[in-house]
Amino acid sequence: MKSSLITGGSLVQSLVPRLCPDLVRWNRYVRGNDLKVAIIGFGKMGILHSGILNLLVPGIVKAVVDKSFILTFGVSRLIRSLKFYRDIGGMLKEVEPDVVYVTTPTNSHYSIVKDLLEHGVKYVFVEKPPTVNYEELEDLISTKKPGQMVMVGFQKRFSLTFRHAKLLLESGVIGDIVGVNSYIRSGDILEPTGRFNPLRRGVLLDLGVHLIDLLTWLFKIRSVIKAVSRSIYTHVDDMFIAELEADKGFRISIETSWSNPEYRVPETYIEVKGSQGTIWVTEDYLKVSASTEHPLLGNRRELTLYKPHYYQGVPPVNLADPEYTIENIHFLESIHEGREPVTSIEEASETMKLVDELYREIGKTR
Amino acid sequence: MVKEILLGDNPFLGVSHLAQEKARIERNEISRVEAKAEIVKAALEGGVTGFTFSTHSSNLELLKYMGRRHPEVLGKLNYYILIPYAHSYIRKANVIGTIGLAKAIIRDIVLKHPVDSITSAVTLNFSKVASLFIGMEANLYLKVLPRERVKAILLHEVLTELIVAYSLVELLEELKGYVERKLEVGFGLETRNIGQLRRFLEENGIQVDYIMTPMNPLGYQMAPSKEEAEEAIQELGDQGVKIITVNILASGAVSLEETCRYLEGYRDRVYAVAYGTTKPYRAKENAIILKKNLLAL
Repeated sequence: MKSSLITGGSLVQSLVPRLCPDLVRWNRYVRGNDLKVAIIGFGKMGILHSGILNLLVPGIVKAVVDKSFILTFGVSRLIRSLKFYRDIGGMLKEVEPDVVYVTTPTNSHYSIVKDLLEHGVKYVFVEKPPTVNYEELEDLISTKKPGQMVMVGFQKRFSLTFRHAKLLLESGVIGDIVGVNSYIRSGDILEPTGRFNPLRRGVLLDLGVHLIDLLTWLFKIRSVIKAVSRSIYTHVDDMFIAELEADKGFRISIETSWSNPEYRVPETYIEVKGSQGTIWVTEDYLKVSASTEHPLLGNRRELTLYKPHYYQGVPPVNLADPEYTIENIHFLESIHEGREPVTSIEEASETMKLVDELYREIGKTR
Repeated sequence: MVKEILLGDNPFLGVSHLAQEKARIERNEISRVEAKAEIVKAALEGGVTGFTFSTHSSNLELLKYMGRRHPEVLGKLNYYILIPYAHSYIRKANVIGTIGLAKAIIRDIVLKHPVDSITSAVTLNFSKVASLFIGMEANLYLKVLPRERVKAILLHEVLTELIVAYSLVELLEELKGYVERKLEVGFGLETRNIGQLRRFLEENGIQVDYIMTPMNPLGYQMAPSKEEAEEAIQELGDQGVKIITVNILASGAVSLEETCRYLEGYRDRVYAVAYGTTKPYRAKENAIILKKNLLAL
């Protein structure tokens, strides 16, 4: 079994330039990079992105804005290479950053990104979900001026397993799609918390949005057939189950939960049944069973590949999952090339429209 | 030369870098403390000389259990402690937020070390607060383990990578000093970005006793590239840093035989090799194979 896995690993190595060209030419976009980056919100995601960026391009992050006094006062005594601010305006005036990362709680994304765009910041990265609903997203898109770029942190699209699955689907390796089962589960919320009350939306918006984004990226979705949600530990949805219909008529079932104790870290699972085979894919693996041999399966009918086969000496920085680094490289490359990123704010429209539709279905609009 | 074969705790905690699916199955197989103890015993029989683990509460439970039921096993192993168990803090932050987490940690430190905390606050020495945090985590384990057997405390990779990313020289020196002088054990760093770490240590003239880092034939978790990571391991090994290799099987994607062939080329630079498993027979068998192929006689 193991030797066949290694053969599969060689197959992936030959596919990496096709799956993720950013990884092949990353050096070109990070060496000698003189961009000035600022981070707004120095929580988990702000620390992660700034850490990755600084490991890719030492010293690229110049400033941090966080409204917490404890954080700015305490951390500024530890991290002397960064300037810390408590208000965005002051930072923009003094630092004049080229790039701003918005990694604050979701309910503040809209107003902060809008301010940045109006202020003329050229390149903005906003963590997922970009806004609380589609209406806010639409307004941001209309605020954006030519030459400005907003990328959304839908990092699952940068996972090589999901990219490989997309390539196989587009190449017709499993024939016509018959049906899709999917879930995203985590054990993040296993005790009562009021953190999500201001949002009035829960797991579907916060975690499920990754799955919705992958599904809108992989398939064209026509409508919501049914949806139900359940609260367990919060006053919002802790579990959200739905059934969708794709343009081509097949059904897609989705389940999102952040209160599953079995899941130490989140897992996104998509099973695609086709007329000539099945694909099972998560962040960790890709498994394929097809009725005929195919070059993309290494001229075989069955293929199983795990994360170590995809990430052989890549990405150049290992901090959290590899897709975060690839996402940051892609953003730097998009800036360098003056090209819209694959997860641009415009690309996020379908995802946020579908999120709204799903909440409408359970009778919760916002 | 490879001097030690270590048992790692990842499978005990439900950590698999291959797939979460595998981790869930393994965690259920090995949820009882008795089952973990059997693996430690089998590994020792196979020739393992040490145990490397994170400060997860289940490891404390295991070590206390070993102390009660198998003190002879506990007394024969060396210990390499990884601090902190970052995942538990990340999970806590999901519930109470990052600021809530920071406040909770500070509150714990102040309660345990009131005088030192006040001194640190007055002198604005926040690196000292970080040391107190490391000490607070470590002491729970140092109380349980035979002290002379605790060889090193290593900073978890998340801390190491952030120290490099933000060039936190002062903090690193404070932590190193605290571990070496106050806790009187060796100090080390765990990293998945060894190329960047080597550059950082060189540029700032910092020397550490131990570095723990992934090393496998696929180059999985070796950065900035497999070749640069290998070069960094060779150079650091030549400088006398004790290199502890982890994830040697690329999370199970390569065989032990392939790994042994690969690591043989680095025998002179690597100090210890760590592996993990949930099966007692494999714990023993793997230790025997690694010992036969890599250990300096």
